[in-house]
Amino acid sequence: MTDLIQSLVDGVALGSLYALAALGIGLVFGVMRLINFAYGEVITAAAYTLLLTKDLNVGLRILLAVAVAVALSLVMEFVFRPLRVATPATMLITTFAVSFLLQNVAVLWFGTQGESIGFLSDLNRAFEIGGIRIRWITLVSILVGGAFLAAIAYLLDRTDIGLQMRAAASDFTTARLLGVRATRVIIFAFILSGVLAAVVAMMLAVQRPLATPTFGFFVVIPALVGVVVGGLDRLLSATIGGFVIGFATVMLSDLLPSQSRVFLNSVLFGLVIVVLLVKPNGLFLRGAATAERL
Amino acid sequence: MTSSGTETGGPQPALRATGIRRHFEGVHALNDVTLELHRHEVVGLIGPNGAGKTTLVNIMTGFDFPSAGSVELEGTDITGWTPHRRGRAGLARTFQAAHSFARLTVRENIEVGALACGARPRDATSRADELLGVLGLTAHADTPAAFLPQGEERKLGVARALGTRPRFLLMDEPAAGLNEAEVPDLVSLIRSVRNEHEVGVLLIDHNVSLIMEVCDRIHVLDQGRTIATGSPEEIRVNLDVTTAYLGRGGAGGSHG
Repeated sequence: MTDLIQSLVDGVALGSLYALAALGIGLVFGVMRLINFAYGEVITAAAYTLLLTKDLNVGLRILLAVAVAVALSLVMEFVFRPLRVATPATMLITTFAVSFLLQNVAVLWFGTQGESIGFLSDLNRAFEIGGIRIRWITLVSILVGGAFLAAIAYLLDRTDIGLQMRAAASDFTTARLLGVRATRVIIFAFILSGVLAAVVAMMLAVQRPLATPTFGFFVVIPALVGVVVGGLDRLLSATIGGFVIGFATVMLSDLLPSQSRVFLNSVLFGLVIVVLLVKPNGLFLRGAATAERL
Repeated sequence: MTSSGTETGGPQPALRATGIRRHFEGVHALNDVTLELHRHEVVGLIGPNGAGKTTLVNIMTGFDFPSAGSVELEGTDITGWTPHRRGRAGLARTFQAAHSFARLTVRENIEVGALACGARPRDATSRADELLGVLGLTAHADTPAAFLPQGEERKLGVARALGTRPRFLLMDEPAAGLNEAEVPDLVSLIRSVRNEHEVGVLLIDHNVSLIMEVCDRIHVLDQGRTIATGSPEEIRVNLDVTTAYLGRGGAGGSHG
């Protein structure tokens, strides 16, 4: 029983991280219909920033990581700007290209070995409650994840820029015709997704303290899967999808016998295929959602 | 650069399309059409199918560009401007299809336009509430737009356009899909847009009785040319208009 609760807590923690990454991808997709594969490299850039600022105090490191992630996100927005009128395939291939370019830049600068980030490693210590050992970072991930999800929900629901973002996500052309400044809304989405990437990088850096060129890539792939499984068309469903993938990863790895864990990804992706066969619009979207967008 | 006031004589603010030509691969969709719309008036744009009405409206709202000629908004040449830039400058358009933001509430739909055109959040909300009242949509304020009946959704389209505080509004077939009983509501809506919001309205519709009832002036196109302009009474007895409609079996024969 305690094992199960242990798994549940760990699942919620990883789920929160993937939910943040999924939200970062979903925010940009909402206003631009662009699936940014290079989002992982924004996370990686934040991780390397933490590595390079090892000697500075924690507050400054956090600030710099956020600043670098937001800056890179804005550069991407500028690079992707001509793609606004491009086909989805062109968009996707371009973000792939940017992703691999940045990964290779990281290989050139830092090598493939990986270096220890050394960020808030004390948070890996655990406390015990009712026989369950909970690491502080697990608790912090859940709290920080929940706080950011709530903050963005508030921002989208209650602020004027949030309302304009939702309108643009619902019908971009009409929003523009009403005078919504497209570039401003898109830039804002990229800034938010940059902040979320930095948060994900920080939470991960505590638990997986090795900065490598693929640090973020391996977060974004499952998060993207989550986004698709949940339903790309809505932020809420995409975010829940991200959460579910994180949660399922932990649960499966704990439930599978130890010698079968190498098949974890196969099982996970097998489930994804089944889900998409049964519900092509995503688990948490009604069937009419696609038609509604058209 | 631009002269203001033509046949009306004064420098009254106006939306003006001058000498518009539009060729599509050798076909003259519009041939030297000039149309002027002042604030506080409703101008009807009618003509048989294929007359060039939609092309003209597209050119005036920035969805298409003329082969020759210019579009001016209150003395400024806006011929090359994008639709959203024209929107912010005071030119709004409603569509035949509703194009509402399905997931946003009815109130939010109106707020978006108001905010985008520079209103503060609080002002946007009060403007939205005012328009909801004027258009009789208050009961639906917090309903997602996707759940509105068609007639109400059309009103929302008008409310949303008015939320941007336009000085000129181009309405594309607002009566399409409405039943006979709903048309009087539309008439009073268009009148209130003109009188209370002091907006110049260009009305395109196949419903000639609606046009005759609500318009101050009517502009008739046929095969890309202006064949008549004048008051509803003048248009009603105009032989060219009668021929254009009856000769081709177009809409509105009952008024020939």
